[in-house]
Parts: sequence; C-alpha cells; structure tokens
Amino acid sequence: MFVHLHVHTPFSFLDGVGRISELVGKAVELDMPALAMTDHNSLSGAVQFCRTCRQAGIKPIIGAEVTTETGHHLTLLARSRVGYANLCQLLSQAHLSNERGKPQATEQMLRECAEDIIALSGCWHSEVFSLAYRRRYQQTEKAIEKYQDIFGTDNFYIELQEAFYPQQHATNKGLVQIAQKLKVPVVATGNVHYVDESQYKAQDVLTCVRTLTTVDEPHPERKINAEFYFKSPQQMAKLFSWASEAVANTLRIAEQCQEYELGDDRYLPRFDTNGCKSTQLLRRLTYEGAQKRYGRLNPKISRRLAYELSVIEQLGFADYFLVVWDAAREARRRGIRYAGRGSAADSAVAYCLHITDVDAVARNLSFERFINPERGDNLPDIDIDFDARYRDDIAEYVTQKYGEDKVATVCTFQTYHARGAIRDLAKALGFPLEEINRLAKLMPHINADGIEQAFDHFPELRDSQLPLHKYRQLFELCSHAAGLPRHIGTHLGGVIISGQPLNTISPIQEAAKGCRIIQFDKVDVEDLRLLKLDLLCLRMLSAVQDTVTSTPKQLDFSSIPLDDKDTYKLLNSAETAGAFQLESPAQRNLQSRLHADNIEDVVASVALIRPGPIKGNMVEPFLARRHGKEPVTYVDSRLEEILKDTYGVVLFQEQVIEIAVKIAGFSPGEADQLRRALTHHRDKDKMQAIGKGFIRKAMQRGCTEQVAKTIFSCIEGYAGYGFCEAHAAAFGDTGYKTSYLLTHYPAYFYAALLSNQPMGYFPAHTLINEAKRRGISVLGPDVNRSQVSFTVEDSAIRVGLKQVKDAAERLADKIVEGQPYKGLQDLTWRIKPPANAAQNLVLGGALDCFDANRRRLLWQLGAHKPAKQPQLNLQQAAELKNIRDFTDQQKCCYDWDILGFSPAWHPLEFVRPKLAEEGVLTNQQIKQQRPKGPVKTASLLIRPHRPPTRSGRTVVFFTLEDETGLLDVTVFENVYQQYGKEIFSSSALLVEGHLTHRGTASIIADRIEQLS
Amino acid sequence: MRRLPFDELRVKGGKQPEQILVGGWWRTVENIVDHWREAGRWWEGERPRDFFLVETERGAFIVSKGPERWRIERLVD
Repeated sequence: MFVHLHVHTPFSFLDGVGRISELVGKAVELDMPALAMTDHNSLSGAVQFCRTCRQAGIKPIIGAEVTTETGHHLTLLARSRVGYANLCQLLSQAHLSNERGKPQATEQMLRECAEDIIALSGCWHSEVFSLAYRRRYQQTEKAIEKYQDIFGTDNFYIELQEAFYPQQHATNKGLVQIAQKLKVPVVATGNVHYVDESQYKAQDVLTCVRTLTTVDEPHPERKINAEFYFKSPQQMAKLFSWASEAVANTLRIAEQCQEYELGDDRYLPRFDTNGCKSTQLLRRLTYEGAQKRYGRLNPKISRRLAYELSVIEQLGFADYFLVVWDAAREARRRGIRYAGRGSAADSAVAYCLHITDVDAVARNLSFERFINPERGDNLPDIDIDFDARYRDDIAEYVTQKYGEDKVATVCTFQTYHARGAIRDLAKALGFPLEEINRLAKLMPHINADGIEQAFDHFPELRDSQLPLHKYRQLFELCSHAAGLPRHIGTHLGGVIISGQPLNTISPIQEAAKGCRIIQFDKVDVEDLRLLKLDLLCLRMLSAVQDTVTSTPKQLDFSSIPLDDKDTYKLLNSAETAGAFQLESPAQRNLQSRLHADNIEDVVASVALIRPGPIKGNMVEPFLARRHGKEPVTYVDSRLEEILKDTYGVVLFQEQVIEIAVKIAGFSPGEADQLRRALTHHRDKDKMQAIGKGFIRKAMQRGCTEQVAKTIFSCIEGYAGYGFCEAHAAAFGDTGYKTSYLLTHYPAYFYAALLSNQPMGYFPAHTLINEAKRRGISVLGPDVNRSQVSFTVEDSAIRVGLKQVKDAAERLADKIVEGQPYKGLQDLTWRIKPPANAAQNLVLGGALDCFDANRRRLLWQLGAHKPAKQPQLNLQQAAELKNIRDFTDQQKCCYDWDILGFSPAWHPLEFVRPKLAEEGVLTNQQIKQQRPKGPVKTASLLIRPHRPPTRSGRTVVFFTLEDETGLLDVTVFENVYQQYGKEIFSSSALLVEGHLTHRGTASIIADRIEQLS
Repeated sequence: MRRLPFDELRVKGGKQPEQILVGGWWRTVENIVDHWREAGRWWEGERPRDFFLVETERGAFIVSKGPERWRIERLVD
C-alpha cells in the first residue's frame, strides 16, 4: 500500500496540470485510502480537494510545498485542524513579509507555526537533498537535526524521490544511510505534477510560461523527463524496493493525519452593539427604518417584518445584517451613491435598513428566494453597487472597523480559455509575436480545448487560410491547459469579514492592486461559511452622481417620478443609447415593441432580454399578451394572482416559489429548494423525481392530474430561465431613472457617461454621435476651457482634457489649475508637458484656441524647448506663416487616434459622396425606406456578437454607426457562414440586405463586404 | 569527458547496456554508475531516452537508449 503525500494540483500555478478530480479519481482507482495536496506556497485547492476526496470516499491530507528563506523547498502536511491553521499562518507570513509573488518562510516562522505539522525534507530543490547531492554529509545531518528540532523528531521525515534524475538514486542511498545513522524515518513520494505521462508536455510548456522562457531555453525549474506522473503503489514499491520502509511510512503518515472540517459557523463576525443583543439592535433599526420608509405600518408590513426578523434571528444572521447596514450607513454619511441589488432586494428588512431600494412588501417578493429558512447552511448573499470611484473607500472603512486581520478580499482564478492559452503557449513554443497576435485575435471566446474544432465551425477561422498543420501541437497543448488556473487574482467586489483572524482560515497574500486577498474564491468561501459582502463598483452610479451634481436644477435621483410620459416616449422610440441596461440592440428592439408605460414593463424587460428567456421563447408570448393579441389564460385560477403582472408568463424565480407554495402546498423553504433544483440540476432523472413530487402534492390540494402536470411542465420549462425579480426591480428602477436623465438632461447625462468610460454597451464615439444627433453640440478639448472630465458648456458638451491620449489625469489637473494660457509658449513654459502629451494636445485640437492651424502648432512645438524661452528668427517666423494646416480628414483621423472620436466629424462623412454614388444610403435614409426592400449601407461596426439561440443555430447581431445614427443588423447562419471573416475582422462594413420594421428598423444582411 | 564520433562505438543490451564495442572489441559493462531519463526536444518530435553512466575495463562511458537504438554519448576520461 502506498499514499501519495507530495502532489501538485493546478493550484501550483503553471506547474501542476493534473486536475483535482483526475488526481482523486486516480487515487481511488489505485485503491489509495488517502491523498495529499502540496501546492507551492498555496492552499487555494484545499476546499475543492477536500470536497472531491470526501465525495470519493478517501481521506484528504492538506499540505503545501513551502519555499524557505534560502529558496529551498520543504513539504509540510497538516496533521489536524490546528496544523491547518498553522499552515495558513505560516504561508500568510511567508507571503506578506516578502515581495509580492516571492513568498519565503524563515526558520523563525517555521518554529512559530510547527505545531501539528508533519514535515518531509522535500524534493530535488530541498536543502537536505541538495546538500546530500553535493556530498556535504555533515551539513546534511545538521540540516536534518535543525528540522527535527523545529518540528519534533517524530514529525520529520527524509523524503526520497526516484524520478530518474542524474545522481538522484545515489544521493537517495546516501540519505538513507544518514537516516539510519540519525534514526530519522524516510518516506517515498512521487512529487506528482500530473496524472499520466501524456500531460508532461503541457507541464513543460506551462513551466516555460511561468519562467518567461521558450522551450528552446534551458531553465532549472523545467523537468527533464516525464516521471512526475501519478505512479501506482506497485510502481512505487518497485522503485523503492531497496527502501521498503519509505513506502510503508506513507501509510503511517496518512493514518496520523486527521480528517477535519474547514468550514465553521464561528467564522461569522460579531457586530459591536454596545452591549445590547445584536437581534435587539437589528429589530430597533428595522422598525425605525420602516417608519421612515412606510410611515404607519399596516398589518401586512408588520407581519412581513416580524417574519423576516424571526428567520434572521433563528439562523443567526442578525450580525450579518448589521454589518451590511453599517457599511450602507457609512456610504450615506459620506455621500457615496450606492444601490443594493440581487436577491437581497427580496427582503423588507434590507429595504428598511436602506440596504436596498426595492419595496419587497409592495412588490410581494418572496423572502425565501433570499434566505431559505430551511437551509440555514446557506449564507445569504448581499450585493451592493457603489459609485465606482469610492467603492474602495467603503472597503477600507470595513477593513478598519473589523480589523485588518479579519477582513480580506476574495480571490479569483484566471483560467485558460482559447485566446489566453494561444498567447501564452505559442510564445513559449517560440512562435513570432505577430503570428501569435493574429491567431489570438481571430479566436472567438471559446474554451481552449475546442480550438481545432472551431476551425470547422467558425467561418472567420475557416476562411482565415491559416496553415492549420503548423499549429496542431500548439492546439493540443492548449486543450491540455483548458480551464487550468493561470494565476490568482482579486475579485472585483467580494470582501470577507470574519469573526476570527483570517490567517487561521486561509493564507493571506497581497494582490497586485495592493489589497489583501485570501487564497479562496467565491465558491470556496461558501463552503468555508465565511461571510462575503459584495461591494461592487458600478460606473453608472458614478455617471448618475455626476449628472445630478452638475445639473443647474437640484435633482433628487431617488425621487424621480416613475410615471414620466416623456421618459416612456423615449423608451418607446428605442433611442436609449446610454440608459442603464436598456441600450443593447435587443433591449431597444424590445422597448419599441413593448410600448412600456409603467415601471413594471421596464422591470419585465430587464428580465426578458437574457439568454434564458430568449432561448426559452418567452419574449413573443409576453409581447402578444401585453398587447392583448393573445389571451391571458390560467390553467388554475390560483395562478392569476401570482402571474397577472407578467401576463401569465412565468418570468421570475419568485413566481416559481409562489406557485409551488400555492398549488402544491410546499413550504416556502421547500419551494426555494425546488426552484434551485430546477435551475441548477437539470438532469432528466432528478427532474422526473421532482416533477412526481410536485404533481402528487398538487393533486392532494385539488388539482387534476392533467392540470398539475401542465403547471409543472410550465415551471419546469421556465424556472431555468427565470430571473430574480428583486434584482430585475433594482436594475429596472435604475434603468428607468437613467432614461429619465437621458430624456430631460441629455447633455449632462452624456457628459457624465463620457467622463466615466469605459462602461455600458456603446463606446464613447457612439455616445458622441448620439448626442450630436439629438442636437447637442460637442466641443473639442480646449486647454483654456476644458475641465479634466467632460462638462456642459452653454448646453454643449465640452470634451475633458483627460480624454487626450497620454494626458494623464495629473497633467490634465495641472493644466486646468493653470488656466488661462496666453498661447502655446505660455502653456509649454508653465506646464512643461511631456513631448508626446504636448503633441497629442495639439493633434487632438486642445490648442486650437491659440491657432486653428494644428500643423503650425506642431511645428512651433518642435521649435520650443520648454527648458528655455523660445526665440524665433525672422526667417522662421516667415516660414510659419506659410505652413498649410492638415485637411479635415487628417484632423478627423488624428482626433480618433487621440480622443477615440472626433468632436467635429464622423469618418463616414468623408466617403459619403462616393458611397452615395454607389447607391449606399445613410442609416437615417434606410429607416425611411419601405419594409422588405433591398438596402445598402456602410458604417462603423459595433459589437458583433453571437448570443445563444433557441434553435441552436448561429445568428450574429451587430450595430452599424454612421453620421446619421445607429442601425441594427441581423445575420443568419447561411450569410454568416459566407461572411464571418469580414464581420469579425473589420472595423467598418458595407452591408447589403433587406429592411425589416419589426419594432425598430433593422437590416437582415444578405451580403457583407469590408469597407476599406 | 569528451564527445565521441557517433559511429565509432556500438552498444549491446536489453533494458540496460551490457557490452560496448570499443576499439574493435566488445567490452563488458562492469558497473552502471548512474541512470537517468530525458524527454529531449519533444517539441521537435524527439523521443525520450534513457541515459546510463557505465564502467568497463577500458573506461567509463555515457550511453543512451531511445525507442530505436542504443547510442554512445560521451567517453568519460
């Protein structure tokens, strides 16, 4: 018998390539009772590893291969939960006390964290082996004695590996002699990096990625052979036939290691309540908030609040709510705009605490969608969006409040997909950079294991004429790397707040952006029962804040009337580019057909334009019923109350819960479990079992079998696609209100949107074009008039100076502080901008106020050295007069390069006469053509994409932008197969097709050509 | 240690080298001092080889065995 005690999972980033499920599966196949994981300075795989081992019925042993201060490796295994905590603390110290990405554990750290740790002397790179390899046996003995002293004589083993390396066997024999002399036990390990030998090449090439080398360059961290695979007990016994106790000791160690739970309820934080019970404080705050929200509480509200509070108290979540309430309160105190979203908006308590702005009672939202009283093991998830500029301030506040040792950010694992895999692996294989870029850019967003098949499927690849045979090896290696984590990153919003020091639960390390992260991702923290608070950045809230603070009239965003006719008129006209969640082509098309006239329509539209409802064909029935073209019928009259707001269509997840409660008599908790099962586990057998239960219960409550079956098939069909109503309500509210801003304060809102790019569906140039189309002038940047960001100047939008390429915000600030400037000399003399920024200011038109001739300004800029006052002689002055300016077309090109758009011209304007000669119409002209007629347009291409379709066939959607506005285009499979290459590799297209007026005018493409 | 011309010497053996042809005489391998394995330049299609450091009465050699044949790599002076 043998147990692998030295195993690298993919969380030894770019080193281990055997997936955890494969490694555990192999251990089970080989009849091993336990398995260890020992990643480099990381426990990131621990939760997944434990879960997989337990499911497979073997004992997980958590460990790590630690790098010491001398750069050597040391294998450590946690014997118990105490040992695990020590391992976490050790790795935290090793990470945090060294340069980021180069953790090292000092001897002192090892001594402090040695309790309940079993240490193995390590691999080829260990101190013990490398000394023995150089035959420095006295020093080897001293090193062994040091480790025995640190970990205890019973807890230190000399590790033996046989990987067919030069002199390895001889060194091992020397080590065994020393072990016998010092009476130290030996243990055999496999230093597993992958499951079978076929994965060696992937491991080798990923090592090249990690060490920034190519396969042609030797590197000490590359393995010389494929011997680091998951060897069987028989193979290990044969390799160590000369030291059989080394194999036997693996079992001894495995038996010594205990099984323990990583998750614990004690991790939940306690809110400082100044002595009173947290439940009491929560009650008081909730009812105080309720008075502000509702005034007098009617029985329905009182009942709902009492119910929610009792569930929250019963499940021990009172402190959690207080923690979130406190963060929201701090944001309000600082004037930071925020909005609670997600299923938290199903809670009336969250509404009363001002965590969310959705009235769960008025909307009759199901609290159980947020917190299931029958599943206390699931921590509720509260997400709050903040003005993106100040989100970190709130995260910092939380950190200071609960202590740096108890707050950290959740990590993410960046995994390999096709593009990333091609970029990294092709570079390691020595492909030229140009070739790599070309290949990667062509690649659609697909998994790394489907690249070769993609050449058959995607016409843009098929027609690219790439020599496929040249890339076979690359693509095969990419498929091995598919889904493997490349590196650890920082989650955008997830903050962990713990009741215990986090470094006993997870190793802590510093992220690239400077914050501290734990080594577990959002899925793992749920298993660990760590409290996660999602503090997210939402740039739209920054734009809203900028708008409401810049409009001349005092504007209260939260009090925007929800029945503004002009806003609904704008929505119906589908001219919503810039509105939150309502601007995509599909949304605009829906709006033009929906004819929304109340906020519920907007909420429904947020939920309707999602892959699920589109695939589930929910949009058309919804529209038909909304307009009375299809009768709204209910197979059971009890459904009317639940589905009447959505015209009998099951659109929201909350409706599934209500149906299960009303029709089948499920408890709300059971109903949410049904909803989860329908959403997540869509395998046939489980669905059948769930369906039988539902039908039986429904029949017991008076349904006929036929009706019960019909209702179940209805929720079964829709539940997987349903959307959380609370979330839709929160987003719908913001969507409507931003449409209101777009209707009544377009210049201010566009300026704010442009100042907070990148965000939303459309790029800055489209927003500029839309603003101009709506009659708003756009003024170029001006060193004497522009601010740092976009502003409104006499009803026109003035481009901000930070928009100028290479004019960093600090430079823009300096220029604004120094305004006004008398001329170029004055500006360069006082500001001393870097040469490239000065040149861009000229070419982007920011200095037109001094001289409209940009070429002359450039010339002057060359003559003027900011270090000294410029002096021109007479001849130079005469030459200056004769310099001819750039043409408008050249200026437009420079504008696009430097600003990302041109305030004065649209690029299509310059080719319009020629296009007109060829019968090409503008987008505006096309919209006035009769339906089904053939049309031809030429425009800039915006966001070609292939959403999932009901039929499974590929349909490409994109938007065309010319100087007269936007036009949406649909490309069906047969046309896409012909012109896929043009669509996905061009920035402007000539499209021939026929017009359709289904909602907004759009084109069904027949022929596509690249516009050169 | 010096490199030997490829065709000058030959090796007989199964999984391990047993005899080496040196100066026209087959010499018996008296001791295998070391054995290691290299994957080689796999990206160029090279196959893995087993390397042996062996001792004969005429000196020490490094020989290797790939999928196709034995090869003498080095003479260890």
